[in-house]
Amino acid sequence: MRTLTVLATFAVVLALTPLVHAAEISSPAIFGSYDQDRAECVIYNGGTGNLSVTIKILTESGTTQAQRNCGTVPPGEFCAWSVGINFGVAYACTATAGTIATLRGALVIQQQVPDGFGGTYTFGIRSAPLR
Amino acid sequence: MRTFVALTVSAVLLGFTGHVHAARLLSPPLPTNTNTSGGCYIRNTGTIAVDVVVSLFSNNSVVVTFDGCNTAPLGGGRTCVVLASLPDDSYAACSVSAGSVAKLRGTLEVREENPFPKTLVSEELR
Repeated sequence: MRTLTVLATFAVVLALTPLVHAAEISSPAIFGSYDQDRAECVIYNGGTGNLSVTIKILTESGTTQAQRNCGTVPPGEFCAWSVGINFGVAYACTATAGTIATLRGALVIQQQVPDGFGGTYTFGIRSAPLR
Repeated sequence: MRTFVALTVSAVLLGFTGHVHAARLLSPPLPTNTNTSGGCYIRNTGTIAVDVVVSLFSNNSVVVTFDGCNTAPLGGGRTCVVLASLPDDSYAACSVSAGSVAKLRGTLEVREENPFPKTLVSEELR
């Protein structure tokens, strides 16, 4: 009887305890054009609980070009990181979190152009989802 | 004893059973720049009309300029769209909720507005 009680208690605790894994979503490596200047990786927490998220932007050889620890991302919030990139290389992005079921992300390759007022503005020329 | 075992089994089953949520498709987020607009297209590939709730949202205020989705059920084979003026230097995403999303497909498009609307990047809802 004592063994059964212990086993039953263990089973209940196991059933009610969420499993914690570090999980990852990744984009493919994408190339925009010879005019590409920046890569921006954006994630969105579409769930109902906080997520601790880290973003990495990688070169096509797998080297980490930039990394951002977003810290705790509340439900309904975004986190992003942008980095200058080379013109002839493809880039990828990964995001890690405790759970990725409701985490969405995209990598956007961007081009900077003059705004006519002495500055520049940036617009996306290609994107890929993180999955 | 039988009650205890039954309760234990129920607790275990409850632990392995996913919670039931209203079904939803959600896009990846996309960055915006100046003078960008967004379009969220939802297509019903089924044959039965579906009540959909479509939201095109951002971390800053979004001005919806046209809402063809949240006013009436989306008929089978039909596509609806929500269009919005997106805030500068922000992020936008789109979601659709329905009783079932199995037959729904969605796309978020970020566009340059001037001189004419031109889609820059887009992503599918999943």
